[in-house]
Amino acid sequence: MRRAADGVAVIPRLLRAPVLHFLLLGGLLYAAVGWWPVRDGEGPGIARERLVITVGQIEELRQDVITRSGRPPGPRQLRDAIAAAIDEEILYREALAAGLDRGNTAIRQRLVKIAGFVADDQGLDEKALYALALDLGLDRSDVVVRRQLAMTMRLAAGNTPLAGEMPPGDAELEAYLAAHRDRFSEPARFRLTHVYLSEDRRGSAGETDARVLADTLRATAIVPDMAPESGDPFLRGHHLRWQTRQGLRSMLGAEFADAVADLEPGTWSDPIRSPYGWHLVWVHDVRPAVTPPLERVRDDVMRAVMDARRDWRVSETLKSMRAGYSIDIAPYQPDAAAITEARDG
Amino acid sequence: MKPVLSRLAAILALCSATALVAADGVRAESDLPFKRTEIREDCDSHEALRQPFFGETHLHTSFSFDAYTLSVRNDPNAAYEFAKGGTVMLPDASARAGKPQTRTAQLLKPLDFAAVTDHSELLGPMEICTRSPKGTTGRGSIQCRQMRTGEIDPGDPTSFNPEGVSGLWAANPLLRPNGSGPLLPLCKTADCKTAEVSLWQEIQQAAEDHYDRTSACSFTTFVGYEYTAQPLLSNLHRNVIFRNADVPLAPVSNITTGGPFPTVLWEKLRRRCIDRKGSDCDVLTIPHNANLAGGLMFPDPASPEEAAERAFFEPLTEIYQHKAASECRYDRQAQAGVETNDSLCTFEQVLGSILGPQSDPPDIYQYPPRNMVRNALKDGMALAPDLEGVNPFKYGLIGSTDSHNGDPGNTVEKDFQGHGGTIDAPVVPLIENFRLGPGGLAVVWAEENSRDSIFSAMRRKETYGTSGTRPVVRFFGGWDYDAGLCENPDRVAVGYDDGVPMGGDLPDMTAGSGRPRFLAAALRDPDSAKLERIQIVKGWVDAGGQTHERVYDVAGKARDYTKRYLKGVCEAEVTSGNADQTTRTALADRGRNELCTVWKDPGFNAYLPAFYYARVLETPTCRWSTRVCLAADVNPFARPKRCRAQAARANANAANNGEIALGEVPFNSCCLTEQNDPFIERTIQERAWTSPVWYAPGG
Repeated sequence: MRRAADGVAVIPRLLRAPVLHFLLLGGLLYAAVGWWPVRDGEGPGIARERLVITVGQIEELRQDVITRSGRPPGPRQLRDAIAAAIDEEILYREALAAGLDRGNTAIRQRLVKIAGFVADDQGLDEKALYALALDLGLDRSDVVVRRQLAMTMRLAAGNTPLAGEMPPGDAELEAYLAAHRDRFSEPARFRLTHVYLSEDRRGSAGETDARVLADTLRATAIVPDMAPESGDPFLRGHHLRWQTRQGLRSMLGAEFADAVADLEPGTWSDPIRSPYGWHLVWVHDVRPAVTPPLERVRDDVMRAVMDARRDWRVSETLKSMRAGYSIDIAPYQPDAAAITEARDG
Repeated sequence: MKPVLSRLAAILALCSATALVAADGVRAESDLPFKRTEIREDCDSHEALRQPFFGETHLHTSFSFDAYTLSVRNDPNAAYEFAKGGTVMLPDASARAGKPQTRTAQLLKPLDFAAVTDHSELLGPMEICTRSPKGTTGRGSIQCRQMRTGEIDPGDPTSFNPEGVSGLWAANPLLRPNGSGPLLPLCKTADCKTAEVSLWQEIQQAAEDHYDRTSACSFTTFVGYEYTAQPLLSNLHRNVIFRNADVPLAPVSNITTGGPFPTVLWEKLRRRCIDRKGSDCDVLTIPHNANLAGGLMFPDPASPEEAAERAFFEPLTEIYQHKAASECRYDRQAQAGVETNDSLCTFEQVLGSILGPQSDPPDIYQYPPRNMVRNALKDGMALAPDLEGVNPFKYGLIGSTDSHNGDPGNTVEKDFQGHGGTIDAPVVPLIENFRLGPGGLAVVWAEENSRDSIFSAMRRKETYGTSGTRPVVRFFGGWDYDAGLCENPDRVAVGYDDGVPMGGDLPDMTAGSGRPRFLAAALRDPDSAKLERIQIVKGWVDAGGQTHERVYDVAGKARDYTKRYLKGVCEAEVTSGNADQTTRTALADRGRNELCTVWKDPGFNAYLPAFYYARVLETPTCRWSTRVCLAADVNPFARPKRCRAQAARANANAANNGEIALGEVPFNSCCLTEQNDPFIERTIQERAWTSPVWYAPGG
């Protein structure tokens, strides 16, 4: 087990408490300084622990991607998978160093269970089984235990403020609101009429039909509300009143919603594709999005800022943790068979 | 005592200001086709010909005792956020006492409306045990410690048994004999009554906080709960949905009714809500899981009054949800059905007929007929003459999930990761619940997305249920529909003007009326497969009182899908991650984006009562179980011997990982197919069921 370089076991006392308690400690946390045994990673005399990723492990990761997604990973995907595996390993080891496995009833119970499967003597009691599990190193080898510890460490990292961190003030909230207007705004709404050309009825000829019809509509200056009769009937109606972009997306697909968002009101669009066919759209009116003042959405913004904070804390913590490891990734060349597999998909 | 409706007060102020402004939509009360029973802004998006709204009417959160024991920690607020597009956390399969939460879930398409319906019976103890501050009387009781730790013997980790704790908690209020003692021993000293009212207020507050009363009408909530009646493990559960914020002080639970008695539920709801003087309270109850009711969900009413009360309080029933389908049942191996020959009734069936374990589940010949709603619909017409003409089983249809994860409307097949916290978390526990599924959606045709409009739609049964996807379905019945109505751009207006929508009663015949005609139209879910066909299911009663049914294909075309085709469907989905049409073009899916027809009943007999409902089928997509099996390297499409070998390997792996005990074989389910199981399919044809249109002989 790794100890901090100066020989003192820096095990934050708070980490022994259930992780959820972090959420309740509120302001107390902000008084905390430097809980983590942060290393600067450079300099003589600091022992760095070795972390090796073998070819075998990379092969396994590659297989995981294939199983999950159905196709082999590209180089970038593989790099990401390896980086994620390294992070998991580091979190796991740091969790051990912080003693998170001690006093964790879930882990203890799991170890007792596995030991029960492998014990020669079936009459052992819970305490003896736990001791057996530790003897056999099951707490180090069991995948589920490792995963749990890594996850707990990740949660702890996310919930512990970094040194010098201050609670988000109004300035930060306002900035976040301004930068993420879309998330908090009352969305824009559109009132439109559309002419529909059905792919079921017309096949691919529908696209030409749509273009011809668009020209006709523009030439004849027909009243927009009467125009749908020159196309096919659409079950959801031809006059969509005050739908948001998200609403249009749900109804008619992303391509349609995106196209409508960019249309000039008071004119017929070129044919716009939907999963059903083609549409000529006349936007009558747009009600623009409204960004509410911070006061109205303070809770939502705070929640979002804290989520981002947690992610940032985890990535910063991982960065400083990584500095304490010397990481060796075996050079990996997918063999010829794998290359063929990748090419042929 | 009403919850603090601070937002309501703001709206009130807003309304009195806007009332003076002639904006685009300040509608006079008289203009509305439904009664406005609350104060809110008018909706910008209001359609006289109505719009489809997709929602959830059956959802449990951490306020439900069973969900809590399964380590679900999403409360009603989290649930409503999820419905609107937010994320929730879900517990790891190995979680204890709510830790760790390792999974996330999110809807790609938010819902339009949702009702959180937690179990009402144990709200008081839940408040005391999981939400009250230290020092509250009862909080330290053994029941509370059991609830918080999941351990039968709190303090002894080897006694961890969340289902056991759930059972201990439930045994008293849900299965208790009439009125014997307080619900849990802790309520002898603790103030469970006040606690219940307090938690019920939180439920109301969450519904209020997330109900959009502005003219945007982006999301509607309903205050509700579940009346969890289950005599001897027969499911008689009902979801109680209130129309507005005017609700009784406490829910009417099995405790209040002294046991599982829906008739008493209605009687008390009538007194405390419907008939309450000077109040706008209105409520309906939605029974679910007839398929697990042991034949008891739709009993012959004792009197015409009881029939009328049932008809009043229960305009709708769930046709499909997580715990399987209740439309109809057909065993393909026995080549027989429960009062049906409809081979599409193999759809999403469980083996048993009650809520609990059955050592000897009934075979298809012994299966209680009224466990299936279609049979109840038929029987209702047969019973009416003896009930002064009241049809007690005149149910409209919706879908729902019954998820206990606090994730309303989470029905996307490819994303299914269980609906019961740790009990069916991926992978092994999920596979162990092979025959269950993500559940469906409730869809209403309403003018606008507001409580009164949607509730009115439910009352008049202008609703349909889906198996989880979002096809848009219209169904009208009338005497005069033109054969070419589908080409008419005003077909929907004509549908309403010259007939009735789904859920309605055909108008009286006139002298010239021939056979009834039905306009059935459907538009596919843009994010799912194309449509295969529309069917109309007809049920009728002959002169001798015998019921009959017949299923007609009315639009589109039935197809025989080869195993190669179905295998290709799953492979294409797994590779692309999608289930929609763009990834399936290579499969030459000959389904349609839209279907429409006007159908005339060829077998119509003006003397016989009948109902007609539309069932819309998509072309096959991959069932969730096939995807999960494939990810575990067990291929349900492989030859049986190969599949079994793969399953054996997967079982062995799981045993080595300590996920199952040696000898358990959950992955064997992966090898169930259409050839060797009475109901299972490796792919799924998602579908929709409309509320019926009824015909009663005139006079």
